Amino acid sequence: MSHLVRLYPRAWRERYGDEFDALLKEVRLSPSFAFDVLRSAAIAQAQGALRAAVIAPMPMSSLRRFGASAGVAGGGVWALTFLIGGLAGWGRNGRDWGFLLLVVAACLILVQQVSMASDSGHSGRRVTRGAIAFSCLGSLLLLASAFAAIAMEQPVAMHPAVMPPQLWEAGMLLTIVGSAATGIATLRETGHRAILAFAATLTTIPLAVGLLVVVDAPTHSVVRDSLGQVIAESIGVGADHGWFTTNIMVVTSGAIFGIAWLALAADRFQLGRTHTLQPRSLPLHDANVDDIGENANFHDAVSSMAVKNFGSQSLCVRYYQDAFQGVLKESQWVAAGAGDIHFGADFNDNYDSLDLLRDVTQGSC
Amino acid sequence: MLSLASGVKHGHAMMLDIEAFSGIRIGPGSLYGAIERLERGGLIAPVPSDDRRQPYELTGLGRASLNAQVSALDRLATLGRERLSEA
Repeated sequence: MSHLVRLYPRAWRERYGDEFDALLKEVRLSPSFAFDVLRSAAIAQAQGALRAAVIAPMPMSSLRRFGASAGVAGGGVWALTFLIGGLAGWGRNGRDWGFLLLVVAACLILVQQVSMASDSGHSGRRVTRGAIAFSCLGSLLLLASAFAAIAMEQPVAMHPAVMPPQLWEAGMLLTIVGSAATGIATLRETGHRAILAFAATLTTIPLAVGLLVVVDAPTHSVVRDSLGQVIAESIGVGADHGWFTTNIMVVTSGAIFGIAWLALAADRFQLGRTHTLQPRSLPLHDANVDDIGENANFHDAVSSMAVKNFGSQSLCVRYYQDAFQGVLKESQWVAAGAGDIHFGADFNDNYDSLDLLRDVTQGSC
Repeated sequence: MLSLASGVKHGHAMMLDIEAFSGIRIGPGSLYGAIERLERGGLIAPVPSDDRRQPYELTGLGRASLNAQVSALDRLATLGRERLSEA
């Protein structure tokens, strides 16, 4: 590949490098052509850098605000419960207050999950549906477990026989699995947003601890204590501190889990001010005839798609204009009378238009 | 886009065609800058080819867009001629 081609950004080279190299070999590279390539490479580098950090306003919807508030509260309560509970030495018999707080936190996190899924247009995806289903079931089990724990101390106790064993741990595990799935889905959409990707990754960490707790519970903490002993010995605090060490692990992972959700929720608030738009990070509804409607005006169609995807028509118009990059501005398009593109019977003829809609709504233009 | 209006072309063919009808020698960097923008806008699309030289064609949207631009220019040219003849 020509040295001149190497001046272009990697993404550009991956797409056009080979054919551009073929063109450079085909034409006689005069000084003016060499300068033209250098100038274009510099522009491509600058555009690549800008594209990686396009800042566009994204209005804060009430849904996002509500979900983010719930997430901040849920993540905060969850993290504090584990931290304070751990520091205060909550034991296997003394965590009733923690029961209730964690149930509340799990429900708040669930609200944020639903809000995120709905707000971002991912509610139809399998992994998102699974995440919410797991979290719902987890919260229900936690709720049932908390009620059972309270009821069993009352004169008219809920009979332990009707409650499946380790209801609490199962609820925790399902909640963590649901959260981890949301974290993974978020991770896949975050693009280059390192902080958000990091927070999403953290939501998956407690999964291992949760699995350990559930697998271990019926065996009276043999695995947990054994692992704790190994860790205690390895860090030189003695095998007698095995359970203590394991408890530290659980508390730490629980706190990290809460903090991760706090960070994810804080990021949703951040969307209200500025948002680094990345092609992979943006939601997309499938463009189809039903969505757009027959004989729709092109501009209206793009706008409606953007409203559906972003909740913002202005954002759409910006990308709509960016899509044409000066080739054809919105006003020219409409003024030229070419705004009516039929999405009905001649759907196939206009498939390229739908591709453009997809690009526009993905923000990749 | 106007170069592709007459059919599928690869980069070098476009350069020669543009020079032939406009007299402008477009550089390879400028050409691929335009190709990238037009492709991203959905106005042109690559045509499958075994050759390293990638051919491109106008999409339906690209043809409609070019038609709109040519019509607008045509109206502008007509108006210009009318006003010049009045003067």
